[in-house]
Amino acid sequence: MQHLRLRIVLAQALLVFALLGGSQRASAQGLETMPGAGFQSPLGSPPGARWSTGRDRWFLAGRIDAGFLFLRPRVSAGYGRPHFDWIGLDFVPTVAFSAAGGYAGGRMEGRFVEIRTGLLYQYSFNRSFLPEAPSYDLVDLDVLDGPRASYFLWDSELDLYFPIEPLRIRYQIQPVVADGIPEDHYLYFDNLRVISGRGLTLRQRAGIEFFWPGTTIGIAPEVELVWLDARSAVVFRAGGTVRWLLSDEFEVRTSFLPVFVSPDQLGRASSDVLEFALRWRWATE
Amino acid sequence: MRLRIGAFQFAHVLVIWLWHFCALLAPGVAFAQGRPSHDEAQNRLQNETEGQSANEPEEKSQPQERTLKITPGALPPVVYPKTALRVGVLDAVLSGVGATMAVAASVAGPKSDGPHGSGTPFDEAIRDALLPNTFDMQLLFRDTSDALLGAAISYVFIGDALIHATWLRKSPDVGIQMALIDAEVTLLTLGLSQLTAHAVGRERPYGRECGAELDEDSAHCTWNDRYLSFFSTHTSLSFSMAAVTCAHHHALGLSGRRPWIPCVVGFTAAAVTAFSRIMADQHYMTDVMTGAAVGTLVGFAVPAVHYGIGRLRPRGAHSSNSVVVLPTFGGVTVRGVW
Repeated sequence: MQHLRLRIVLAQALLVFALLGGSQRASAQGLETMPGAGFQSPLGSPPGARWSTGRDRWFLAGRIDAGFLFLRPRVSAGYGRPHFDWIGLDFVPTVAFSAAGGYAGGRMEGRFVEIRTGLLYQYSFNRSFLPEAPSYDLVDLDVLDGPRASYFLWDSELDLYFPIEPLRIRYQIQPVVADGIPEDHYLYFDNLRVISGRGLTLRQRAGIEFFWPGTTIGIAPEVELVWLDARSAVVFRAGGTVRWLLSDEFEVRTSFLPVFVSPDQLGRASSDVLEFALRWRWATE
Repeated sequence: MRLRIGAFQFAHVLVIWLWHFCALLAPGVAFAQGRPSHDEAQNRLQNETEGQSANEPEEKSQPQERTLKITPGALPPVVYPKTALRVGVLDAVLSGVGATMAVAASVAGPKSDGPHGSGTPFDEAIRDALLPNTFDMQLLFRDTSDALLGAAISYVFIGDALIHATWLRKSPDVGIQMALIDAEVTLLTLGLSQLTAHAVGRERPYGRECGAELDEDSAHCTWNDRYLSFFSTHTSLSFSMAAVTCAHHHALGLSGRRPWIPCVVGFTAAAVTAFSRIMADQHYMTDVMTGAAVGTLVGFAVPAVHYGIGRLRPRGAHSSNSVVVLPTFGGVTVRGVW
């Protein structure tokens, strides 16, 4: 009987593996699932041509998101095929008008899964820790009452991709644990756009991406839920992201996820609204 | 737990987002249908050079399948006019001057004894008429103006220069020239607005609320930004982006027979940005009017120098800069051609 159960479990595991393996063409990045790939792009390699091919190797890679007015670089070093299927380290410096700091951690990127974990440090120029209150607005956030906020976050993220052509389902979970927050105080987390405290803050996002026929424009309706353990509250956002693949190196992205449910009223500081970013990727050969 | 965003607010932001996204897509969608693609245009050009008339009915007169394809070369290529002036050293110097003015003004900080307390009677009348009753609504308009400005600048650099000219029309040379002109306009406008704002030191309209409605310790009240009311950088940049887009589309034929479309969309968005700044209590009417005038002037002047003056020169002549210094009665005359 036990053997039978073991066989069933094994058969199920094999079935899942086979299903995933059968759709290997649909990479984790979704570059090969979209129609229109294969054209000659004046901005580099056609989408799906460069990063998914080639040999495994040691490499140094980078990614920059630029827009008005931000610049978010990410430098990676690792082994595998950069931006596609690799394992290594990530370094993300943060230099902004409002804060400085950085993130360092490990990352593994595969066809259907992407996982990272690391330590983030941030020093805020214009924000203090917030005295505990049931609700905050944007003015509360901007009041400098006490020393500037300086904190560490243990920041991890797991991305799962389920390619069901022509769609691509994506599920993302990001647990964040804060350290350095004084007793009876909260903190505005720039990376999650929420006010939370000690303990766990958990963000989950789910979406379905499809490419507009005849184009390389990917549209993904998405919902996002953030659990604030310290405040026993939830933030809910819904909307979508749009990305336009111009080449393997260049991509234009925008997102629109306004807040629908939140204990606070922070305007754009709590939403992901209308940031047009140009993403550029590179890697050593 | 309360629902924090009303249906009106959501719809408001959604409409703005969709509007700009459509504007971003408009060139590709509008012209990819029923117009010759990049390759078709090249073939037609080749046929004409081989003696076939472009007006002859094509052999394949069957109705073509109309599928929307937005790929590189979906639109005919454009060429940077030979008579137009290419971006050069003088442009780099002007851009550098703009950037230096902006940085120097920010480092020096605003004048602390500028006009405080209230605007002119005209400003106060407009403020009374437009200012929303609640602070939340003011924040919404502030966010709206930020989002609109971000979208306007993104459209100019990413939408027009990168996607439209470089990618859809496979004309990277035109895309680069457009982006460089756009950068010059942006930096000059930014430099002028920052230098003026810091030199004048006018207090923003909301400043009177510090210590009353607003916490005196809040960043709104403690930061130098409080004294940068005259003139509006958001408005000047929005109008300069609208003007330079308008000029590019007219000079390069990027919108075919409808070059007025990007002009109307751009200036309407800029006007909404300007009024949003007043409704956010960030600026007075005179701030945004001056910003609009300066932005429009810079936004048209820089491309006019490149496209307009170049057009007056003999066709086919190479573009080059020249400066002539002549002694005259009472001083020296400097005459430049660029």
